[in-house]
Amino acid sequence: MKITRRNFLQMLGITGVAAGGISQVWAIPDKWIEKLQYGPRIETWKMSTCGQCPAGCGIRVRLIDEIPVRIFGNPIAPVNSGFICPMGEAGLELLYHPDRIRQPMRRKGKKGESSWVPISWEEALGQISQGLKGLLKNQQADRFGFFFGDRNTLLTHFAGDFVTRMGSTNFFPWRAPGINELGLWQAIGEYPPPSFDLDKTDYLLTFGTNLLEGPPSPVYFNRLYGKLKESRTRTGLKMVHVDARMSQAGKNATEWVQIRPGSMGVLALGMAYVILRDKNFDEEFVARFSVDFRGGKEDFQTMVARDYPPDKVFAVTGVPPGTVLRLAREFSSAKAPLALSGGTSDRSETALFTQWAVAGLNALSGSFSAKGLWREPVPLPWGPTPIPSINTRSGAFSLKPKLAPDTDLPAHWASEELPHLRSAGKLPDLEMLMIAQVDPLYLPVDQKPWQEWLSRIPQVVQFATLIDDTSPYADLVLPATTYLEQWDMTLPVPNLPFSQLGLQQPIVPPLNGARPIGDVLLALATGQGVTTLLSEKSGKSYADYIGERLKPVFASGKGTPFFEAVSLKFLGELRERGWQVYSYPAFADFWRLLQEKGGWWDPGEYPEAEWKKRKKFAFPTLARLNALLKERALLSPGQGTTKGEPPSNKWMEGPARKPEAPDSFLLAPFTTLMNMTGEGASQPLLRELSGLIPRVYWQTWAEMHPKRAERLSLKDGDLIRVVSGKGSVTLYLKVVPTVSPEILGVPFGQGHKESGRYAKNVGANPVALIDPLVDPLSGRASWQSMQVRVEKVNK
Amino acid sequence: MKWGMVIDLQKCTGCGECVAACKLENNVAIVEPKESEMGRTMLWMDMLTVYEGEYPRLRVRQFPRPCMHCDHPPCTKVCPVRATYRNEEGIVAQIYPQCIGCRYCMAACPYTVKSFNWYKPEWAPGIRETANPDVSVRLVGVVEKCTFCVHRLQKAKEQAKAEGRNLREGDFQTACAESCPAGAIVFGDLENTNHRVNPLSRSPRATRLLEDLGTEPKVIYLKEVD
Repeated sequence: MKITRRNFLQMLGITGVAAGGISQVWAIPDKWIEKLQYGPRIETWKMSTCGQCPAGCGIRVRLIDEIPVRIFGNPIAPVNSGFICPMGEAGLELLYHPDRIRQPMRRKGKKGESSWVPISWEEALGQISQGLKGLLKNQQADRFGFFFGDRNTLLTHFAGDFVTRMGSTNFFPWRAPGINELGLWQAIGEYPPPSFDLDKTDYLLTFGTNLLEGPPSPVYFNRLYGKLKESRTRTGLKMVHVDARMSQAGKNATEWVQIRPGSMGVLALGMAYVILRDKNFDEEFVARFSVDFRGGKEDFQTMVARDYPPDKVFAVTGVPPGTVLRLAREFSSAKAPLALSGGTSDRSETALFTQWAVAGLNALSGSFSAKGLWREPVPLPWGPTPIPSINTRSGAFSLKPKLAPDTDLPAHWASEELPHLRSAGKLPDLEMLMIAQVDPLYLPVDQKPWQEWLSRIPQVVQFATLIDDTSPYADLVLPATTYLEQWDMTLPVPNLPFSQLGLQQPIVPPLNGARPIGDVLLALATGQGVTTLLSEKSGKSYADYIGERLKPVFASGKGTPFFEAVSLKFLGELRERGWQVYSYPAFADFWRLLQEKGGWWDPGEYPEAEWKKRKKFAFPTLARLNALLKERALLSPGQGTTKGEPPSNKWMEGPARKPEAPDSFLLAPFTTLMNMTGEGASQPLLRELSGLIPRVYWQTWAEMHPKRAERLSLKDGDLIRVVSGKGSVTLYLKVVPTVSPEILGVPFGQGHKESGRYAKNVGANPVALIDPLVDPLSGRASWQSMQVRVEKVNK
Repeated sequence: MKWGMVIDLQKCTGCGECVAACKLENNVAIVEPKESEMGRTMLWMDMLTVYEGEYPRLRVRQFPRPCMHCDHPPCTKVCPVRATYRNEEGIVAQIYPQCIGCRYCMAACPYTVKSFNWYKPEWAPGIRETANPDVSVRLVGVVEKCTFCVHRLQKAKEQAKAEGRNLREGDFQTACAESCPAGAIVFGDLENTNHRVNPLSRSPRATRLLEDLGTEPKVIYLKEVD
């Protein structure tokens, strides 16, 4: 509709009458005009769960005459209590995106060319089905693989199940590891790691962990930070953030400690040095529940005392000895100290070492003995679910009920390294690869091997809502629904101290011929006669599968659908008398309540972590680290660290680099709340707001310290070219004091080649500048420590 | 009745949710990259950043900035056509069809809260449907700004009238206050002692932006103390 002053006034009159005298009302979309004039204008609300990130926030969608117009938070969802983040707000922009794929498409040209022939769903499914049948017939089921973006929903389990039933083990999930996940896996062999309760700490030390701008749950932690920030003026809670860049976590902390990228583990052990020298450590925990602390030639104590005195730590990290001393003393004197590692610290070559060192710091300082600080995740009433894993000796992926501490790692740590594993001969030559909910040609540091690998696979099938950077390498692109058009169930959020299941239900029927991934997989499995995924009694759709999975939850009698706030004490009293908030005698009632309220949760927190029951805490020692290097050599092909003598102490000197020249910097990509993994770029609101704080809208910027900018005669707003061995990008310069002088901070999430009109060729992707370096202990690709040069560009 | 807002900076985490909620609630246009480069990005609610000191004593203060809804608004005094005025409930309102686009008010506003519609509002097909049907879009050549979500007030009043009662606290919340995860933004009647904003606005931490200008803003900030 063309908007002129004349028809604006006409419209104002029309809609003003139609809407019962609300003078400000004026509808926009064409097809609503009729509804507003003659339609009943009925407002309805539907509950669901957000799918923009894995945090599982409950949402409440407002519909006018069945048209969704706005997303709000679900006030009774325990994770977010009625609030959502900008990504959650923008969900409708994804639903209504003008470039959504409308029907299945087959690639026309060569791999890498984005030209397409539309085909029917029947043809597409027939083609896939035929391919699968051929593989099964020739006993080549292991030539089928599935690369799956894990959004912490039941669909991940379902897709894993699909792969298993096909007879393959090649299920490759992709997601960022949880907080402390790497370190605690190594120290206590537990996955998922124990949760923590931020409310119980009196000294929070975050090593690169940015709880406010990314997973596990930014809304939950923003809410909690708001509360802690207010209460810390009374309680004296100290919040210290250690990172090369002052992210939102640093801005909201009481202190920010600048550090060289990749050296956080060294600082943690430097603090351990002081704590040990002061003899101010948790002797009881160390004696009863740990191994390798002392005794033996290469124990933790000896290593720390020899290698990590504050002056050496200063030389590596750049943190002054006085600060190391003060932090260590403050931390070990706190009643409930809590050190968290994640975020930038799990994106470096020392990811696992850092997290292990931080776990060691927690063990020393008495964090694990503090009351109520660490929590034991309780398995859901449906029992344990298989965990996708990678065997570090054979390189084989599989789904296991429990990971073996010696040989297995969670598969998502290393799933960016698939092409490398293939070239090392550890993966079979795939005949068919499915890709869903992830864009592997945008996210990884090393995109070329991915292009080559995908080009070699004869049949790449992608589920997508928009054509993205991966699509040109897919042979078949299937239009998938958004989270607002499908059934799903979000699982308990890692690291949070309570359990919840968020129900995703279709707010509107699938638009534009898209189909839910779950139903397509089901159709492939059942309809095409390949194999069966569901028991016969459980029905024919993915929603039925969810219902089936929920039956044990209902039968267990545990938990309840979300309810309005009542105190836990009151709830306990109700329970004692055998009453409950809702009554749901049959499963159908339970299912109806879930749809009405948005999900299920187990009120009350997880029980306190018990150290008696678990494996002893293993402190990091040089011998163990070097043994692991050998053990996991497979994860970092090409980075020979195992030949000859083991390095004396790789963790001290190697990965923490300094800029080499006056115009060189260490590139430090970071993520923002508006665009966590790059998916926000397709939505205009998030595109615009990703530059809200630096006021650089729609562009990618680079953050530089004022002193370095002055020396290079650069000023705010200049255009600079950032050059690395792999290429160069041109960026806007922001001169801010919130980065260390050695680094150049660049936001991740822009610079897509595709992903719809709002993302295509806007901004730059800093990750594409980085040399492929991998943490040899975890297989995580490094984003840190890349040397780049900066040149001024004349506008 | 005097509507006002208290923003507790000790609670605010600077997440920007208020900005996103405001843009979607009020159909504030998303300005395309070229226009945006000319400084035409439209934000009714903005997030300002102030750097204090140097590392290691660097502190970064972030504060949300809506329209201050001044009791003595400089913008209304310069409007030649009375397209902007302070209503009896203290809200500085805009009458879009009356605005002639002279932008005097933009120049007069010391808080720079006003935006000008350089082009007619356009949404790509599909994206249009995400608009809020309760709020009109503005025309080209018209100045716009935060309205304290006055459309919600009208709805709440009608609801209260239909139920035969007075407005209660919480009946009417602005989109930013409603969506703030940290609970930093509180909205209500500054003159009503039962509303939370009343005691908060008299807190020893309370401060107003550019107080010395005598504009008497009704957005009150509670200072960060650490």
